[in-house]
This record gives sequence, C-alpha cells and structure tokens, in this order.
Amino acid sequence: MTIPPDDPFDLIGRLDELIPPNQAGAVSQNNDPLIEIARRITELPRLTLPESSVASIEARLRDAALTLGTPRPRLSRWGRRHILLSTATVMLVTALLWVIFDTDPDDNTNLPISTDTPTLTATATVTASSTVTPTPTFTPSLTSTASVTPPPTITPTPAPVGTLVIEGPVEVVDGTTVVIYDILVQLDPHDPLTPSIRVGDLLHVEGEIGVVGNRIVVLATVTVLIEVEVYISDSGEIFRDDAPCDTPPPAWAPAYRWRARCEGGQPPSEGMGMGDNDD
Amino acid sequence: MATNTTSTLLEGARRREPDAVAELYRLYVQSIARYIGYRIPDATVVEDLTAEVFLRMVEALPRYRPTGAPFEAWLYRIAAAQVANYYRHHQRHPQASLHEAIGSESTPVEFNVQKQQEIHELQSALTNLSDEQRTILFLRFVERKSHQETAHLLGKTVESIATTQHRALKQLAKILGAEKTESPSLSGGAS
Repeated sequence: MTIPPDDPFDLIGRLDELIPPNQAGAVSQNNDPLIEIARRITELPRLTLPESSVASIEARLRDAALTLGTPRPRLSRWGRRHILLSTATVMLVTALLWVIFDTDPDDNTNLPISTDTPTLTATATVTASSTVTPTPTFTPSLTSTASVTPPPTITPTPAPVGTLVIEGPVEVVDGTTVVIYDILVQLDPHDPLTPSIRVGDLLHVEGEIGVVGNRIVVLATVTVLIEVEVYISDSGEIFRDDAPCDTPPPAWAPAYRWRARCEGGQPPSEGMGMGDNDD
Repeated sequence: MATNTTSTLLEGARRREPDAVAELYRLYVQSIARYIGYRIPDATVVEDLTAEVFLRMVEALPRYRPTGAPFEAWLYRIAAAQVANYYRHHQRHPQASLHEAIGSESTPVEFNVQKQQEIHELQSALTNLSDEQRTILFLRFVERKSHQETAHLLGKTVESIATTQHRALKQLAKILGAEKTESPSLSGGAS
C-alpha cells in the first residue's frame, strides 16, 4: 500500500466530499489509502446502549439529582474579585475607625481592647458596662456575674452602614459569632449551618455592617461554607463531608467525599483534561 | 440540537431538576457510550463508565462554566478522564474490541469472517494512535461530525485537526500496510 504525500487541507476537502459530515450511510470504496482507511472507520460497528441500560442509568441520575438537591449558589470570578476588594476596603475602614476611636482622649467609652483574641471586642464592650460601674448598693453576687456573661449574640444598635460581602477563613468561633479577617461576624443562630462552622473553614458571608463600640460587626444574612460540603437532614441533623474515616456519615447523607476518601471511591471533580497519555 | 434547548436544559439540570437532568442525559448518552465503547472492549464497563460520566455531570453541573465550547465537549472530557482512570486502575492498555456484547446498528453476524478480521485489524491499529488522534477520528468518522465541529469540540483550530487527522490516517495506513505485508494470510482471508 503506497501512501501519497497528501496535503492535510486537500485531504479534508476530499474527505468532506466523500464522507460528508452529519450524514449517515455507506461510503463507497476509494483508491486513496487514507480515504479508504477513513471509510473503514465509518464502517466500525456503531455501538448502542440498550434501552434497558439507558433507562437504568436515567433512574440513577434522577435519584442523584434528588439526593444532591438544589446546589447552593456559587460565586462568579467577578464576585470573588468583588469580595476581595470589599474585604480590603472594609479592613481599611476598620483600621481607620480603629485609629480614630483609639486616639480620641475624650472618649471614655472607648475601652482598651486586647489584640490577643479578636473575639474580645464585642464581648468586652458588654462586660465593661456591667462591671466597671460599681454602686454602693450593689451586692457582689453571682447575679452580677451572670449578667456579665455576654450572650453569644451581638446586637449592634447603630444603624447599618451598608451591606458587606466577605469571604475568608474563620479565625475564631464563639457561639454564633465568628471572626474573619479580624472582622466580627454575627451569624444567624437559626441557620442550621451555624453550629457546624469551625476555625479554619472558608466562609462566604453577606450581611449588614454595623458598629459596636469601635468595632465593625457584620450581621450575616447569607452564609455559605466553601470547600466543605455540609449535609443537613430534614430533622436538622448535620454531617460535614470532611469528617474523619472513623466517623461514618449517617445513612441520609450522600457524603461523596467521605466515601471517596474512606471507601476508595471517586470524588466528584471537574476540569478533567483529555490528555494523550491514557494509552 | 438547538442551542436554546440545550441551554434551557442546562439551566434546569444545574438546579438538579430530575426531568432536565434526564433529558440532557438522553441527548448525549449514546454518543458518550460510543466514545467509551470505542476504547474499552467490555460492555459492562462501558455501561458503568457511561453512568459514571453522567453522575459526575449531575454533581459538577453547578460548577460548570460555559467556555464557548459545546456542552458535549465537557462530557467528552469527563468520559476521557473516566477511560484514563479505568486503564490506570486496571493497569492495562486499550485492546482491540469488536464490542460483541453491546448492541450495534450493524449486526456482527452479517459480517463475513474477512470483514470481521478487517475490523479487528483496524481496531488494533487504532490503539497505536494517541488519544487525541483517536478522538478526532472518532468524532469525524464515527460520529460524522464536520471538521469544524470536531475542532470546536476539542477546542482546536481546523488546521490543527486537519494536520492531526492526516498524520493519524497516514500512521494507520502504515500500520495496516505493514501488517498486511507481515501476515499475508490476514489479507488473503476466508471469503
């Protein structure tokens, strides 16, 4: 069999003529060996999955769609840029406010705030108002201590400055408040996701900005846990898909990543390339 | 398939609406199964991997971002990864296949022995090509896509497709020509 030194572009022209695209049907034999091989490829058996298999897979897909449920909204690239920009701006504003409040000598309500623990800020404000003003008639008792203990919920009284979107790692968790980039965030205590949030989680928060004392507080209206899938059952039970292998997921949780990690399955993925190295 | 219909289905499938997922699946299941079956000579595995491709689709669709390439291209990439994983896990290389166990539009019984031998030779020769070369030949001559569609699906230019296709066909011609000279009994064949 002799192989003529064909021009690739001449070849595709002849192939389009002899094996027209998007048209089924037999192709007649050709003397050109390259076209003849292409013709032979068209004669390879066309595989067809039997309808029973197609239907069976379809049923599995429908189940998977129902089990996985409606996905949480994810941020676009633009959204992420916007968040980074917002975060930087808020950090700048925080720093500015900090400087302004901290350097005002007449402001007696401005309490010294430890920089050791970011959670101290809002808590300290509440604590100070109860304990710093001793009254002669006040009997030191457990009741004062009890009243001093601040609830985890923060209620910033000032009018909201605006809305803020922030995304970053959780640095501190204290009840339903968390700290992200040194910004105090009050999470919705009724959100079933709230108790499952841990230090180190990447969190996306949208909410209103308020100021408590000299501290910016974000009242979260939208909270999204990024990178960790969290499954919540109808009864409010929670399973985080980054649980260790000795903590198996409950039956209702799909827990694909746990199963992939601990049972050797395949984790869901995207961006799989079609490389040349699979043979 | 009209783009509008596909994009409407995609929107529904992104929200994991079972009907939209099922309809989208029905649109592409046979071509994806053919693509996998073209590489793996085991009907059960073809069915399993086809299911796996579409399960991945359901899981990953919310993260799918249209790039301008057809949606089908994304499915082919998932399928390619599945095939690669399969061979990686099984530590073996693609083999020639007649797809005996899978239904085909052409009934193998109709082929005579020589014809089947030719098919076997061709399939063996195809395993010597790169994955990209095989994918191009598959899309153009099995799926009967145009060169433009093939280029679009693979994110390449028509020029690149033309060159790769030309090289692949020449390589096949060389392999098959060599086989025929090395084993004349194959070309002589029973008739």
